Formats: sequence, structure tokens, C-alpha cells
Amino acid sequence: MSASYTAVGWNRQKKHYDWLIFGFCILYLIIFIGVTIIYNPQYTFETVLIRSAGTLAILLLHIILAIGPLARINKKFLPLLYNRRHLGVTMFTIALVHGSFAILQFHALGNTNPFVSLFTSNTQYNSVAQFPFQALGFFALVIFLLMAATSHDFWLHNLSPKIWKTLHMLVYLAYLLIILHVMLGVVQYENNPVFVCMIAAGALTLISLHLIAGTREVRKDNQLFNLKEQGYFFVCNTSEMEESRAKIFCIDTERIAVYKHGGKLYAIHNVCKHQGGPLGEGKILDGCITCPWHGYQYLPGNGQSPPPFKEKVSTYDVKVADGKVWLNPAPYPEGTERAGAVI
Amino acid sequence: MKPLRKRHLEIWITLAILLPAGIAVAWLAIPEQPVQKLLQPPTSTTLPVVLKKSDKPNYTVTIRRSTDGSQLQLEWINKEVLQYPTATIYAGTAITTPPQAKLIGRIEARGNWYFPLDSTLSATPGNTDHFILYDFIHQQVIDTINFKP
Repeated sequence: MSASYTAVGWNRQKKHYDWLIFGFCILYLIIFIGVTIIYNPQYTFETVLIRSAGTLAILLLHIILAIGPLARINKKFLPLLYNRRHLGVTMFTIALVHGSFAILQFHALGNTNPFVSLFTSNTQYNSVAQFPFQALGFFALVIFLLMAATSHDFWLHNLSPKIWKTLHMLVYLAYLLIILHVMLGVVQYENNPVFVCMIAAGALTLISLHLIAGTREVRKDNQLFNLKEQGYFFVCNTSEMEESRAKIFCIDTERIAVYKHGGKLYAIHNVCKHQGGPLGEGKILDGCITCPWHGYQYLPGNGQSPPPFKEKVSTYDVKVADGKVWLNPAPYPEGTERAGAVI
Repeated sequence: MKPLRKRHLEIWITLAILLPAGIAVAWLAIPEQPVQKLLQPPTSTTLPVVLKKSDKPNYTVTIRRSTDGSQLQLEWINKEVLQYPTATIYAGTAITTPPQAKLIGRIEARGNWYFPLDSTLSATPGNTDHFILYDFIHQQVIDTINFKP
């Protein structure tokens, strides 16, 4: 969280994380290139680079797409979510190396414009085995370029979170294109079933993780709160509340986070203004509710970010009676001060 | 933001259908003889008798035979790194184009390559043999090698 824009929002943790990513990528490339030189010395350097960068980019893409559902299933993965953007830009850079060298090697040596050649050298769009798979990779790379170019918070604020999120959800389309790029490309020319098995295993893992995490969310949203008095719904007992942590309740389609802090209960809208992170899955740090995704903070009493920040979320009435927690789902305007309910 | 979570789930339900379907269709479409399989076996050795030879600026192509005449071999030596990272070689006695011509093997941009030739390929002296270097990525003929009688 920052009051002004900086080129890269590095902090100590992000620096450690970036060094880890850098080290992993270098190690992967060294091992891949080394093994290829030993077992396939006839391959040109360009071919080895295309293959090593391509496989590394796909591996990173799978890791990136697994982080979201993993963080929803187990909070221990939240630090990965906090650093996911840098991993995404790294993946794009490596995919760009793969794409650039592929275009250079396969399309830049003739007298046709390489990008024209990319789309005209093979036009067998009606064939599965001979499908022009390179075009699929190209379109996926364009999506990754758009995502990397708009990954900065500057674009998030200027495009609005809704448009930004929609744009970045194109990653799922890019993933489908990449899987088809591999399956209709290298898999058609190689005789090694390992390629198919690895791609299938990766896709199956991602599908399972996302469906598990998604159905869990649906179950949470479908929980019914039937006991109602004067606009308040009974949601839980005070004994279930943990200090500096929240419980999330979905009433009338909106999620509300009820936090316990300093002997009182406070209720705020669960959705962070930054990227829609689940505020109720964070914790109170330095007296502020802290979003688990990127560390955006809000005061529990009024849902406002501490100065000089300007983000605000809605607040709600919550009351405690006979050890029972009652929540009123009618929102107050964003940033409205509420006293909190004494336990 | 509830629609956002719902959209995520809907997208992955769609992908849960499209991804396995795409993988299965592509897997079923793999040719019976994928071109990677056509790379020479690592134990290939040069047969001693040279029947025909064609010397091009970038590569030398030779048809070889064993001393007892029981085996024929195509020798492909890249003198320079090819501008094509990978290509396939087809053969025939008439002017035919892939995939109608007979698939011999696959070569990479550099190195020496040896492929066994079928004795029915008319590689005997006196006949005209016709080999096609084919870019299977772009589906285009790179070069043809004709051995004149």
C-alpha cells in the first residue's frame, strides 16, 4: 500500500521473493539447456532456448493459476498471492523470449514480414494435426502483454477495478490457448507421451483446485441465517470469535466481515477496494484491518484507510446479547463511524 | 463482488469441459508416425559403398550401400546450419509432393543424419532418385535433390 506510485513496489519480502523466482528460473534454464546439450547435441542454440523458455513459461503459468485457489483453500499460501504480480511479469518476460526467438527462427529468415508469415505460412485451420498452432501462442502472448503492461496499480486505479479485473481474467482464455498451442504444436511432432501426460496433469490439477475452491465459496454464500429480530440476524456466538480475526457472513448476497478487536466487534464490507480481496480473511495489524492480498488497511471503527490513504468501505451495525452476535446487513455509507459492540 | 466469484467458477466449469476435450482431440489427432520418431537411431553408422552423391552449398546428400548390397542408406550432412530448425525428407522416383511422397526421416539444423532406405526405393544406379526437403511447420518444400543417372 502506497500513497504515491513507484515503478516497482519492492519491499524486503518482495525482494526475497523476486530473488527466489530469479534463482529458480536460472536454475531451470541451466538444467534444461545442459541436459539438451548432453542428450541432443545436434539441436541449435535457438531451438534449445525456444524449448527451455517455453516449458519454463508454462510451468510458471500453472503455478500462477494455482496460487488463487490454494490461498482460498489454505491461508498458508497467502504470501504467494501477495507476490503473484511479479511472478506474472516474470512469466510474460520468459514467454516473450520464447515467442521472439520462435518468430526469428521460423519466420524472420524469409522475405515476408515475420508477422505476416506467422499467419500465412500455414493456413490449414481445418486440420487438427496440422493446425497453425503458432497463431494460438501469439494471441496468448498478446494477452500476457496486456496483463503485464497494466499490472501496475496506476492502471488498476485508472481503468477501475472492474475493467482491470475483467482484463486480467483473460488469463484463463490465454491458458486455454497455450494448452492448445502445445497440444496442436510440439505434441503432434514428438513421439513422447510425457508431454501429453504433463499437460493433462497440469490442467487436471488446476481444474480440480479451482472447482474445489469455487464450490467452497458457493457453500459459504448459501449459508442461511434464519433467526432475525428487528433487522438483525443471529450469526454466531461470541465464543466463536477470535481476537484480531474475523468471521465472514453472507447475508442478502453481500459478504460482511465481523472483526473482534480490543473487546469489541466491528462489521465492515468484506471486499477490499484495491483488488476485491477478502478483508475478513486478513487480520488486524497495528490497529488496522489488513487485506490478506496486498496489505491494504482499514480502521475497524469506520472502514476508512488511515491518512493519507483515501480508500473507504461500508460499515454495519453489530450487537451482542447473551453471548450471541447479531448483525444488521443494511450498509452505512462508506467510511461511516460505528461504535462497535462491546462483548 | 459476488458476481466476480461466480464468474471465476463459471469460467472454470467451462474450462473443465473445454480443456479435457481439446487435449483429447489433439491427442487422437497425433499422426501414427510422428515426425520426431523419424529421427535417426543413435547407432546409425555409415555404409561403405557410395552409389550417388549430390553436393549442395549447405549440405551433401549421398546414397550408400552395404558391401553385400543388402542395405541402402541415405546420408545427409549439413555443412552449414540450416535456416530451418527442423525438416523432413521425402523420397520418390517421380515428381511428387508431401505427403504423397515416401517419408524418409527428420533432420535438425545441424549435424550428420543417416536413414535406412527401402530397397524398393529404386536406389540402383541408372535410375533418377528424387528427394524433397520439406518444412512441416510451414507446410512448404525447402529444396529438392535429384540424382541423375
